[in-house]
Amino acid sequence: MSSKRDRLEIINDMLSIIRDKGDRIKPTQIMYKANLSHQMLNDYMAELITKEFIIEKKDKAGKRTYTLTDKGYNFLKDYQMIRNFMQSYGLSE
Amino acid sequence: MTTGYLSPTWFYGYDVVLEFIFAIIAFTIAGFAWRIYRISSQDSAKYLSLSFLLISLSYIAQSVFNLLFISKLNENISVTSKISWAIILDQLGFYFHMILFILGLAVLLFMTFKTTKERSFLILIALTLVALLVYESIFFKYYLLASIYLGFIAWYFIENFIASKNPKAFLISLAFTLLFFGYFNFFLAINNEMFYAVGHFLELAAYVLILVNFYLVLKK
Repeated sequence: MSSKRDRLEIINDMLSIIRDKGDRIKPTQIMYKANLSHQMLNDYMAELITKEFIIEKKDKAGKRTYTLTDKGYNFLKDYQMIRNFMQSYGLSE
Repeated sequence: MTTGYLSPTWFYGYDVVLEFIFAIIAFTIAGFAWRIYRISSQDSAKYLSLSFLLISLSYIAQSVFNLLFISKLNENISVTSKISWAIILDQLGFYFHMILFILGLAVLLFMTFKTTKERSFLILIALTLVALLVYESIFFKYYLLASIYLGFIAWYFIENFIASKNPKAFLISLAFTLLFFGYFNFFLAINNEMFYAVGHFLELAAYVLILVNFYLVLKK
């Protein structure tokens, strides 16, 4: 994983991790696998929920898990296309 | 002096069609960049979208007023009335196009600075408008300023291609280099109207490259 990722790459990494874990993953697992600080995790998770890329669920013990929505799957499908467009215009931050 | 005086008579009508095509291509890029901004919240995508939207609107204004200009010339009215209408429509088209296009370029230039400081953005817009609208020779200043902005924007895209070695980045760098030469041709059209048509053809080549890049992006 690159040390200098832009927002789009971080979003892609997080969504890929959620998908690869079979759509039921705890926030701490996302934080370690995506190499994020606690603050960054909270910010990005809030953003992903607001953008309806993921939904939050609570199990019987009250622990939070996350699942990809159709919009999240579509993002992963279109990621390379979006990345190509951004690279051609030098849009990384 | 505005665009109507620069265009060779055989080119009347063709310029309207070309400007409309440029508007559609620029609007498509603006829409896609906006979609990326909605997903990523990256400011650079927002500025790219805004700049192409302004550029698209500038071509729509130019196309519509050029069409009205040609329609008035063909109307069965007195020569005096025809001339006064033509002057008004030609000048309106030029001013609308000029302000929207140069603002679009200023936003695109700001994107290349890779800064989010609002003050930098506002000073660039303010200086652009002041340079353009204060004092005389607006026509000369517009094409000179647009050429300078396009030169710096092309420089950024060439650097982006050199850094990324991405063939798609090459298409965009070539497109903006052609736009730069296209605008330089408009500047030369003051002395020879043929350069006005050449400028449009260079613009057409540039927008075709932008469209080809977009097709390759969608093709994955």
